[in-house]
Amino acid sequence: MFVSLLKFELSYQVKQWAFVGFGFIFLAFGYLLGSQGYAPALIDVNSPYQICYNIGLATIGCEFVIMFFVVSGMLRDRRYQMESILYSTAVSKFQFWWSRWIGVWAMSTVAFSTCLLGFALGTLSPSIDAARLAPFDLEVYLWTWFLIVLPNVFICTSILFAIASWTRNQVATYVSGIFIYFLYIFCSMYFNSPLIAGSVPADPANLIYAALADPFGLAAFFEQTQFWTPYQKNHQMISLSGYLLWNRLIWLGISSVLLSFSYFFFSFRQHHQPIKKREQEETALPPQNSKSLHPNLVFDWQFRWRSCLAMFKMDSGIVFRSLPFRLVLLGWILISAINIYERVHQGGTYLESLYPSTNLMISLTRDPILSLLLIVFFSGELSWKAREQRFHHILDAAPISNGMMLLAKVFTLMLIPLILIASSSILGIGFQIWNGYYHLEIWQYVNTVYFDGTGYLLYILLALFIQTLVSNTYLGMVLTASIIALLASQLSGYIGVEHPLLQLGRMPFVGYTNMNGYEGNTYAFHHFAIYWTALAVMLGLFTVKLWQRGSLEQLKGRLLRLWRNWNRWEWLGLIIAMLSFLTAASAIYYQTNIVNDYTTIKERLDERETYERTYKSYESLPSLTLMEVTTDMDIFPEKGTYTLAAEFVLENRTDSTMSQLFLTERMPLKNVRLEQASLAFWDSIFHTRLFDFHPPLLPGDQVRLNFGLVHEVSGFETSKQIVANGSYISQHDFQPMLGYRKSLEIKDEFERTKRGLPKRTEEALTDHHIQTHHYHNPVPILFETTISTSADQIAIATGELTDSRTDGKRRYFHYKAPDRIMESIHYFSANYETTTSQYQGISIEQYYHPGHDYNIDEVDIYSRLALAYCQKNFGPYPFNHLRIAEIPGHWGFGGQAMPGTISMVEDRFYLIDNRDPNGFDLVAKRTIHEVAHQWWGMLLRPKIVEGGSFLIEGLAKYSEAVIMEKIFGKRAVWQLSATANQRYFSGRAFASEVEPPLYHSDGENYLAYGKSLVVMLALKELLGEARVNQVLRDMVSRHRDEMEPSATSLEFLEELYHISPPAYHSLIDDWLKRVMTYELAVKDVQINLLDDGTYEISASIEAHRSEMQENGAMRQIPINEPVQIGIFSQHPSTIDSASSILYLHPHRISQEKMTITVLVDEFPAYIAIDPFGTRIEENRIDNVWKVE
Amino acid sequence: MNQLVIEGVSKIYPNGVQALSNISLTLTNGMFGLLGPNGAGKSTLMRTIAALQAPSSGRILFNGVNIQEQPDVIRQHLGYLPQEFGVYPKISAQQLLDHIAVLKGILNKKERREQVAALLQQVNLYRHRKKSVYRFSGGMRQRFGIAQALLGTPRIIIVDEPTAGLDPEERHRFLNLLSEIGEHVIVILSTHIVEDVRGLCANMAILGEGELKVVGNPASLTSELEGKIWTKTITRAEVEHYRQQYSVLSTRLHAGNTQIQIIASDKPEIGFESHAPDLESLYFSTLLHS
Repeated sequence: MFVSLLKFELSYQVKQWAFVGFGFIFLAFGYLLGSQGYAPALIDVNSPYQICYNIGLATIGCEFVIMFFVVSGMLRDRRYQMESILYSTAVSKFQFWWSRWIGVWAMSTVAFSTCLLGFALGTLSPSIDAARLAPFDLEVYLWTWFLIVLPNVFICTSILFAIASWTRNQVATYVSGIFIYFLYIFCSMYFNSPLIAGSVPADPANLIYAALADPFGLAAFFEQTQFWTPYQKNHQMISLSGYLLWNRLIWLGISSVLLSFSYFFFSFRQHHQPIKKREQEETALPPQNSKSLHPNLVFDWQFRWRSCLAMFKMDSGIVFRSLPFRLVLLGWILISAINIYERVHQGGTYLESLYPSTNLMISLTRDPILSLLLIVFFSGELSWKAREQRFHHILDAAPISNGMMLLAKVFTLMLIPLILIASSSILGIGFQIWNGYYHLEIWQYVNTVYFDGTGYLLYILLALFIQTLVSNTYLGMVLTASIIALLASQLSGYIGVEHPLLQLGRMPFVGYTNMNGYEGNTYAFHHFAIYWTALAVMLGLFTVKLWQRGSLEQLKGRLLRLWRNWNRWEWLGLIIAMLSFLTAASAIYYQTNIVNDYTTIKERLDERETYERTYKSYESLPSLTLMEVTTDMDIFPEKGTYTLAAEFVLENRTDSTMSQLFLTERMPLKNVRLEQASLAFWDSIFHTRLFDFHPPLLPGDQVRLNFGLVHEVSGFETSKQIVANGSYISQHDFQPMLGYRKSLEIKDEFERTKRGLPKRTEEALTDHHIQTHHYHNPVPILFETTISTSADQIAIATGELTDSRTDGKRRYFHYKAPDRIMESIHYFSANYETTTSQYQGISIEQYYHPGHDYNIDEVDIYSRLALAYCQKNFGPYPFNHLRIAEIPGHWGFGGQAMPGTISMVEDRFYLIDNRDPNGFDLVAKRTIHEVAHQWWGMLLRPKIVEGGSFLIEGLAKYSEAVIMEKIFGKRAVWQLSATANQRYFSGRAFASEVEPPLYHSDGENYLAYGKSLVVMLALKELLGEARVNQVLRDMVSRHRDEMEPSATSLEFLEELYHISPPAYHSLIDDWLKRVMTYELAVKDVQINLLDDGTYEISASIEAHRSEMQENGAMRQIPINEPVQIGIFSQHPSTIDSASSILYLHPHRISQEKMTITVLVDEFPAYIAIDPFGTRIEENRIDNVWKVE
Repeated sequence: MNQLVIEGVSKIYPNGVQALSNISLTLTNGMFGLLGPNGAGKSTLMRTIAALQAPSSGRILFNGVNIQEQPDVIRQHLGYLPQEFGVYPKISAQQLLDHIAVLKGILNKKERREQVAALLQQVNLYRHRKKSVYRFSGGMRQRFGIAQALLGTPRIIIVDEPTAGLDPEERHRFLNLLSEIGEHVIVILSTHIVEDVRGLCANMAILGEGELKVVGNPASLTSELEGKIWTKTITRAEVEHYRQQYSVLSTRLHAGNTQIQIIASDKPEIGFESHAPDLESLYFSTLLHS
């Protein structure tokens, strides 16, 4: 009996279109994932990590499919009113229930497993770089299936089936599905899920909760692999241990328990709706007039909108009183609140807080996908509700027009995003007031409705249009979701839909910053708003004409009548919509393809290939060196343009005569004149020029290069550089390149092979290379500029301000560098407020956006402290000014240093909420860091070669740490090192190249900003601050006046050897010349009170270290080095004075397990090994032992 | 005087079933009964008239207007009770009627309230007006359906199997109400219960297998069968024999035996008694002959 029931169940499910359909969709989806060949650099497309990652994320989609199988498996009897017949048969509860469950579960498993098959097939696709593929390994697929697919399908099926069986209600089943999905979203906020934007950085404790609470196990997977190096990701199987094991056990347990309970409580009888309390019977007398009345019927325009309103009331009741909507709304408010709180309140990388400016509130609560999901779901619900309830014949016989029925649904669905936007806006305003921030700018919230809401209109009408075409709600939902996913998400690129006109409903992103207001994209946005809205109106009209009214009719018949019975207004609407659509389309096309240069990805690659093929031969041509720059820069902020006239002085600094100069323009130049030379050719496509010198230039000869240019932002282009308020233009944006631009070459080796380009030669990383390499090292230049801007703005450039005047509507500033400066020049222009103070002959000038004055006083104080320390320890400051100027929030960095001038970004500096005295002072950190760059990178200019970034960023980080320790105590160092350490591990996990040792670092941020600080702290601890500073001061004074930069990391190493005992040299090499990680821990602590009142502390220590092998694998090696042991009355992260340090001295750690005994006077609270982070270490939590 | 003209209407469903074939009828004010067995096409015809379904060919004119081209003209004056219907949960009878009243064009709130109250009164639901229709019993729901069909001032009322599920008293009450209204408007009543048509409808038609079998006045149609209807009481075992011998219109159990009714121009054999033709005889004989 059971077997035959099961057979029936399986064959029933197989016959449903859904099984075949979904199986196929998942197969195709898997194929797409596999064949698109996406994987981070260095990681194989089919590595254990990457397969688990892709398939894991895909299982989230399986939930929505399982929902359908469950409803069809468990609730179909109710739906088709088979219950009474079925329940009166001889089938037992056991047979019925379990056959249904197995049917649903087996079908879901099979339908989803095709995804894995598809992925495997996808990796066979010829479009994948064979170099990115590991050999096919069945075990990896089976393991992923066992670890992820099987449990996830089981968990989803069990929970949904249990709920369905318990409630026998379709909506409740959907709701529990949404709940599971929400749980995932909540968890994903803690591990920077690739599907969720703007997540908060992972906090280890939260990550553990997330790892356990995520029903899909993805958080646990990310927790396990968060610091895996590319080598591990390629070679290591995901391990069923730790939190992932617990996660699987917990969720399999929960789902099994739910399943058993619901089986136990399942009653094999008709399920009755709970009986509500009897409505009060009306005893009032009926009206006197019981004759049938003859009311007036009105069928004019008033009827149209009143009937629409009546339908709207009905439809909005269906949506907004439904459980799914309410739950999603609640979830949304929760997510928004958490998002806002977690970011604004100590949510930064350094746990800094932010002022809750309105644009920040809005950007933190931008709805990623919820509205869209709700629209897809409720468009189906609304379209089919009347029919499902069999009310449609009554409704459809009424004289309300199709148009009004549609309009009511459009209004209802449009309210979904609006309600979400409104609720998060109210939340944002509430949060601002709660934080005492009253600059509310309500109009920004209002504008969000336009910028974030307009796009939904098209999706709503698309969804309703599709629902009228199909004969089944679910089919409509799946179709709508697929179309939107394929045409409107990042997926569109993979199927070749690139042009913005084709990416259904995609709107340009409009950001906002206090300085610059809405960015330039508004212009394009209006165009796209008209374009998509017009398309929506057209879809709406067709929807009206194809409306399924009365009995269902096949699409063919309805299509035949599509063009019948159009009234005047409908024609008018169609024509207007069509005209607006075409007008907007042509305007957009004109702006993107004709005014701007529209190129597809392929065309861009073609261009780069041609450039390389045509001009590669000039790479070897010797080049001139830039010596002097004189410019006239005219900025027109309100027009978004600038014009420039420049005179460069170039010198032949080679040893041979030079007869030609090759030049690649970055921006098209005008009036190019090169002294003593004639133009041999000019390529107007690639903007390259070749000059012949007559006579050839002798070594040491100088020539003048003059050129002009006009930079205009045209069409839909937006520019970060030139904006209405807060322009920030780099010399490198427009300055022509004196030679061949290697950076234009295609870098991807697979792409190069396909195009028959030779392999790019990578020079081997050797010490010899560092010493001998000589390539375009820039020399310090003389600089002078006259810069003009509109009268209400201040313009800034590098150099001393020698003159400023206002001439009508323009303001002029003349800047001149007193001496040669590093060639790093930016032009600023904005409506600034200013403050100035004097410090030992240096005027500290601040330029900031009016209202952004929260941290101005502190910046002044920390600038002085930084100048004082650096001047004392590293040598004198070369300018009479230090300028710090604000630039808009659309710049992605923290700050930038130029000679004598520093730019800081508004929301990463000026809007930092520094009111908590115990918090980490990021304003101080950023100020000190950028001031320190006046030495590191400018006075000490390293040779442009591997290891240079260590000297620039590593030493700036070091300065920041020593100065902050002096101001805030050790807690600042603790935080700096913790962040640097974290940055190292997460950075190298996604590194694009095998990790080099620190002294060979070549711009890897995780080394420059991460490991280098930890190593510098270790050196400082090993050798002492004074001796390290001595090395640095010597290097600065040796290099500060040289023309050709020559400082290298090798020189730094030599200096270190010079001042340190030989015993330490190998340790210094371990840190700088090898890749080494540590694992230190305090395992146990014994405290004995001695007779003399002191305490004897015995700490059991464990210490390991590992070195990276050539293939990237880590290998444990013996340890023998001094490491600090500290005993504290406070946790090291909070120590701000010496009084809480009971003991802090280095001990030689020579065994992997040893006990250290120390006497202290006070009863300790914390015992720690390496308390202030001088070693690179994945887990630092176990370094500190808390005394109970 | 309203007029509904049906001209050569046919309906073939996509699966090939011919639900209506070439129906032509002209109706004016008054009750019109549409009789036919299950599956004869009654509901299809009624939905077609209510502009809820397009005919495959033919056309329907309501007061001279083609309802296919301008469905609103008939919808504005239509009261329609479908054969079966459901409602949204969590909404009271009064609220739902009010909602439908707006959709039918009663925009004046007072008028709407009055008519809703009056109709609830007439269908005996006034006491239950605040209850959710979703929880109504079958009969109550049917009465609700009648009330909504009468909302507004319909000029054509189409009721599909309206008496199904009503108890005798309610049925009586409803038919009275219909006949009262039927004096001024077209009422099309479909049923397979002959009883409903007799005495109520001035005109009727019998529909079988999608075709119009008979159209006319019930009384005159019945009178054509005068002297042709015979009955006899026989044992159950003999039924099969008689079925082969004669055109049996109906058989019914009568005190353990079976009474058969046949149609024949002369007395067929001993034991048959002449029977005055009634509508039922007409109905069965029509279906038999087709």
